[in-house]
Amino acid sequence: MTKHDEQIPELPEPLRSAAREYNKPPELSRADYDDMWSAIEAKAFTSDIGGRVRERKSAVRVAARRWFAPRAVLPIAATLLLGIALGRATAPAPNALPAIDVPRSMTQVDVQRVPAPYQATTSRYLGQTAALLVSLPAEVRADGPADAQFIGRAHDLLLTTRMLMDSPAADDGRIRSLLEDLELVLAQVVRIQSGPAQGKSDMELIRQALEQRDVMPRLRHAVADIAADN
Amino acid sequence: MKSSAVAAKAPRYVNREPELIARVVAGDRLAARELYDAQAPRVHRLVFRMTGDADLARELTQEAFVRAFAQLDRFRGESALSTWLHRVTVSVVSNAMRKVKRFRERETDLDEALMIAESAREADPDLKEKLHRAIDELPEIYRTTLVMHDVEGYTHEEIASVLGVAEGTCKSRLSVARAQLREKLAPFAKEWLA
Repeated sequence: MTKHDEQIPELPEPLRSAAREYNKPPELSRADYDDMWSAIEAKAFTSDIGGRVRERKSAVRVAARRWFAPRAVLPIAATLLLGIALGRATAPAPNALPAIDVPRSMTQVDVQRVPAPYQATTSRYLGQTAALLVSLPAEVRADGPADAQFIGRAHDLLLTTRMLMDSPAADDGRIRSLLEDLELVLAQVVRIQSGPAQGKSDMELIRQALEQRDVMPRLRHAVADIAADN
Repeated sequence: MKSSAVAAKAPRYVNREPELIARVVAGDRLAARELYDAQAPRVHRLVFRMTGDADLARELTQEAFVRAFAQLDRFRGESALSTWLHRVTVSVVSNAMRKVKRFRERETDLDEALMIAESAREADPDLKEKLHRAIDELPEIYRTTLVMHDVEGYTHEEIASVLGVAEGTCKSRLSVARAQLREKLAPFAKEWLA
């Protein structure tokens, strides 16, 4: 306590105690904070702030140049093949994610529509996302939380999704639509909670999101087309 | 209750703060959510203390974060992020409360006759209520200082940093605020000296 503090006469104890009750805040629940966050997110992150978007587009270009390197081609192909193989291997399993067959013309995402500089990035991204989502049921086990490395991969893919959404790769309506759906699903994946009950409930929400928007069929078709073109 | 009220955060979060700030500036919503989760309870608490209204407190808490995220690229790290965020919050609340006060004054004028008739029939409010009314009536600079120091437990250093004034000014304001409360409550001294 400084000399100046000593010079400020304290209020008598009954008043100090009553003052602590002044506008006493209620305890907010998790849901209250989530509601406030939704409003903040809608206001703070949906407006197109020019500089920020330009920066993100620039980041996409840098990433695209890096991923375009010849040495990246083999891992891309390997990832795509892995994604397809995992997809085919796990599709009939009862616990696998939904694989509803819908008319191809309604869902087909043609990566050839993506401007040339972004095709490799988009192809690799779609392959990796397919592989990740196919392995999701095995990763989110009933007896424990999802692997941190797996969540880390989902987080990286979520960032790539957002960069692609801000890039010319999303100029095509079908690709944009797929990216938006994948953003939603990946955002849910990175928030998967620890604990059997919570993990199960999160998994159910992800399953519903995938099912309602036919995400897996659209993604598989896109990945299969990329493999055929290669 | 004089421990640091602003910067009581887990070391793990504090270590990651610069990285989170950079990610928010780059448009990363998950990083923004993490900052929000770490700071929102204290921000909401202070806003509620200053407004006393649940809906207004939520609205202004949201507004404070929206403004903070929009201006985060200007944050230079010269103070703790929590201090900077509280500065934004106090500014948002002060502006809003001026409007609310003007609105309430107009309403009071309209209902004044009715209110006088009603209050004459009411029993005397207890000490707590008298004190709370007296705090409400303090000029804003004194009320904010008193609420932050005596009610929420911020240190003079923190309050000075949040309000952008010298520590001596902060102490002087607290002294005036307490003196005004004592003066207003003097007629009821028997109650609080009892």
